[in-house]
Amino acid sequence: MTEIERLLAIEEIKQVKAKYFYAFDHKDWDMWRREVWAPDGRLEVPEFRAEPFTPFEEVLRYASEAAADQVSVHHGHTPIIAFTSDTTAKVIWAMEDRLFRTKEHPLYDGSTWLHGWGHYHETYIRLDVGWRIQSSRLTRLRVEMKKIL
Amino acid sequence: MSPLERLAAIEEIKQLKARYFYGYDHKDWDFWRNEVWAPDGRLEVPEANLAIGPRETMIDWVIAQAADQVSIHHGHTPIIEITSPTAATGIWAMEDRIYRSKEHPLNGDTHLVIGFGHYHETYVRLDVGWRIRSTRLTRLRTIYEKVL
Repeated sequence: MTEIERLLAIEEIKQVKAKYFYAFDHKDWDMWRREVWAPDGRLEVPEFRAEPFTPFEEVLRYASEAAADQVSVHHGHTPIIAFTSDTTAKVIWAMEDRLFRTKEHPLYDGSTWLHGWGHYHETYIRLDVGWRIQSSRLTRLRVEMKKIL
Repeated sequence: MSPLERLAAIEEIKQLKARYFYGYDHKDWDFWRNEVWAPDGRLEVPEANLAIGPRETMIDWVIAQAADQVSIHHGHTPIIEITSPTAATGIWAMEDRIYRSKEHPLNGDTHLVIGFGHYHETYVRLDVGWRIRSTRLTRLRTIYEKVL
């Protein structure tokens, strides 16, 4: 990669993650599938389930069921991006999220509200259609959960 | 510097600050020392009457402060000016949350601090890459929650 190609790839990777957040919080699963994930995508959220969800259709099944009637807000900050080849990269994103659930569909411990902080540890791959997320693992610094009646 | 070199330097400085946050919030002090700070690095926190440097003295102080706390630092919308091929300034908007145990509160009785403010920084380009030479944290607002 030339220097300009590298800078452009960094910008594209940032925008892929921006689309990840935008589509998830809007439950736009077509956009999530087409513009964010590689077909062999893999999502690991240890606080919900030890084994990763993979390939992408399994990620989507989990995410769309979890998100059903919830309102979510996800923000990403200050990515650390390292290229492992011309077509692959390792990325760490700082993140904050808020999940608002209903009494009928609470989180696993009965909570209806979650406010969390942590990091996504990700790998990206450049496909013909552009950069896509190949794997994402969420670790937490802190999670606060409550039942709001 | 060419525009391309300037863009590359701006991106490197953004990722430098990302490593500052990641290293601090994970208490990875070797990473923080080696990947973030210049040897003459200096930290100023006027609200705490603190101005401390160089790097080794400053990191010892930070390690003692951070001991059993959980911290979350997020940075936003940097204003970065490259002032020479080896020097730059930056202003980062920031939000942080510091959780302390009841056994080790802040200011005697505070277990959570939520703060909003700005880092005013200078950077230097060394052989190993861009590093933070100085940072000064100013606050717009700080919220203290007391131990119950």
